[in-house]
Amino acid sequence: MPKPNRDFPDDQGKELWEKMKVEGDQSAFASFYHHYASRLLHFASTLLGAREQAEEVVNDVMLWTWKNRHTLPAVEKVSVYLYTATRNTAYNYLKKNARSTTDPLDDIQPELLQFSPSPEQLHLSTEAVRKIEKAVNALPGRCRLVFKLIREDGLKYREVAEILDISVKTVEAQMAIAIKKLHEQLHDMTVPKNS
Amino acid sequence: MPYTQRHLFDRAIRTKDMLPENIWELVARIQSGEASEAEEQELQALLDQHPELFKTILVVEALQLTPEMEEAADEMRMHSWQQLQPHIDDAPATSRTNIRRLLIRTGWAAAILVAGLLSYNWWLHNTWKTLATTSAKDSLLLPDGSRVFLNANTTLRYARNYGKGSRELMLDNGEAYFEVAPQQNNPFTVHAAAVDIKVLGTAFNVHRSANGQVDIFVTSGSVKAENKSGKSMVLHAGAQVTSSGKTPDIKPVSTSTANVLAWKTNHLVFNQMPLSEVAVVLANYYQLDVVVTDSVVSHKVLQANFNNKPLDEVLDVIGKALNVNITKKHKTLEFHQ
Repeated sequence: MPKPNRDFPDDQGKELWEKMKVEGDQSAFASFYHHYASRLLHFASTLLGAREQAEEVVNDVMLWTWKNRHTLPAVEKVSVYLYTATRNTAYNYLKKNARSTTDPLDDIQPELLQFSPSPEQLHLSTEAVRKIEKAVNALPGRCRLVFKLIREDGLKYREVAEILDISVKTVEAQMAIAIKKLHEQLHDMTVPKNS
Repeated sequence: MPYTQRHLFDRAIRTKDMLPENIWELVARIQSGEASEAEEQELQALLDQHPELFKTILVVEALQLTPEMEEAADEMRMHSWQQLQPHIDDAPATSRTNIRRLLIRTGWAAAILVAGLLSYNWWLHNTWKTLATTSAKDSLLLPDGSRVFLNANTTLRYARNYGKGSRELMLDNGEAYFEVAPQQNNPFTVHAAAVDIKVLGTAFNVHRSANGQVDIFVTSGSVKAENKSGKSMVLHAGAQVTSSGKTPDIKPVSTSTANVLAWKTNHLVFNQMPLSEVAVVLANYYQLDVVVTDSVVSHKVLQANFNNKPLDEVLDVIGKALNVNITKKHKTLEFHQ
């Protein structure tokens, strides 16, 4: 597998979005689908917790986009549009199935949000890596999801706030908590030998 | 970073000052690309007093979703795409799919009759049909509407039962470009040396070298490349990978894709390309062995486009543009000062 893109190539996605709107053929849609679907499926799985439902929700969003391709709005960032649509569809799904009485963000599946320091960027001892993973695994799902959207998808605070339907303050607070917990876990770490 | 990591880690252990209360919001803003210039300076000043923060910042920068998460999502994508495909037929239908539908509706009785007659013939022939080119290029339409372009000196076989439940092709030698007609229940697979390329609706180029190296370049849609050791990789439009005959890896290639399809488009593009790389492109396109002799010459950079030009004319332009001498003997070129 190629290395994940730290900066989600949304420029390329926007080209595909325009191409699908204008040309409207199936191959344009296929390129568009494959560009975004992995991230949307991952996102939907964290909200819904089940693979089949996530696939259903994302395909609903994608099919709607395909069918309405000629009347799609001009968007600033395609990923924000798609993430928001996926969140709405997922919440409707949860409501319909009466699974969630409280905030769906409380039920985020943390097992799909596991992080590890990239060995290409930072050389760390096994012990150090274990500590970091321990710190990340202690974070609640909501916090990890915010961290993922900011760091992996390169989204802004206000964009994440829009996608998750929370305040910008909450986004910032979740990021701060994640970093604080990491720092506390790292604080007594011994000096890495191979750095 | 203004200091070495080691130095900072050493200092980190000695520091015991209290961190300001808003420090985590500040670090978060910087890590999220939300910070103002003033905030960046504020953190810089804090880092001087609290170098232990560096460790945390370095770790946050290096944190990534684990590859397992990415792989699981990619696998889901392939599955859900299969689910979705039957529903996107109501596109502004292309003429090809209309014709195919018509054939499906009216053609069955005739097809069954003909199949009965043909099956006897199949036993008399091999299970593969061979297409081969020598010095000239060729293109042909396969029975399912897919199109294949063959470069010179290429051998491609396709199964006699091509299109009946599967579409299998074997690239024995050379280079070919495939434009695959999408068919839900008819997987399209190209076998090239140790690599199998499974198509998920798309167009792509495959080059098989005599030494078993296989190069793949996808121009639209996506394909799955899988080698004999079970390693696989999904490739999207724009992706270029290589698999040598010796190691089990499939590796991305970062070199320019501008000339990968030159053999088919007859268009050569050299955008600030060093002569050493130009030589490789010319060798592939004109089916030559190119040798760059002089290291001074090989670093010269070429900016030029050629549209369906004979070799002599191309060499003339390169010679004048870069002020190099070129000698040509049989299938060998030499660039020198």
